[in-house]
Amino acid sequence: MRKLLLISVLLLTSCATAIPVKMGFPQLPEALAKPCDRLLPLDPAKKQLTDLLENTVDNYAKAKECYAKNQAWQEWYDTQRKIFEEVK
Amino acid sequence: MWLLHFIPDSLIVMVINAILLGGIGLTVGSLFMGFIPFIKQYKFPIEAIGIALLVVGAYLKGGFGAGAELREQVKALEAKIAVAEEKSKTANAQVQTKIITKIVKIQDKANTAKESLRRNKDTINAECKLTDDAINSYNFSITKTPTTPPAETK
Repeated sequence: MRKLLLISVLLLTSCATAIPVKMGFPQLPEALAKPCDRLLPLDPAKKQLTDLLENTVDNYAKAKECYAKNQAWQEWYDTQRKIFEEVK
Repeated sequence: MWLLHFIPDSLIVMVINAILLGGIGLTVGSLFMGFIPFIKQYKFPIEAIGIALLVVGAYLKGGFGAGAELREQVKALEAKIAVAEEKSKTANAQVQTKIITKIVKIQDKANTAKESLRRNKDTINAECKLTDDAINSYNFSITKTPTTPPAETK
């Protein structure tokens, strides 16, 4: 009788089946993992107009880089979401 | 049920079919055993064994079928995920290349502008010199926490 009970328990284990499938979270491109650079203030010792203009050019470049990174983030998110939805 | 993973599927199917067919055979056969004199007395135990085999066989057949279907689904899902992960990697590489190309272009442009400013430094600076107030006001707009607030204009 005990053996019969054990066998019935073994048979019941067929109902407890877990699906061992996992999808990893997508990796972020290295270039997007770094935060945007801060804008540089002008050195008070540099009083020439070209110093200001050079500083402005540098800061514009930083702002443009940040804008490009922001666009890339959106593109990355949209692409990864589409890929994820294809799996569902 | 994981123990069954070590046994080939074909062997399991064969055993399940044998149990099921044995059950059907004994159950159906037991219906006619009442007419045979010598076997007549074994009718009940044979019928009981037949029904038991039939029930166990049907359960195993269903369970194994469902398990096989589940394994197929898992395989299909794993294949889909592998494709998606590959696509994700490709998309990441594309985004990485695109952003690096853009940054290089932006930096090149900034360098060209700065070179031009340096070349024409004397002409640009000839008639202008920045005051401390101008620098303070400019830095105020850039820095997060300015140490010196911009001077008030009268």
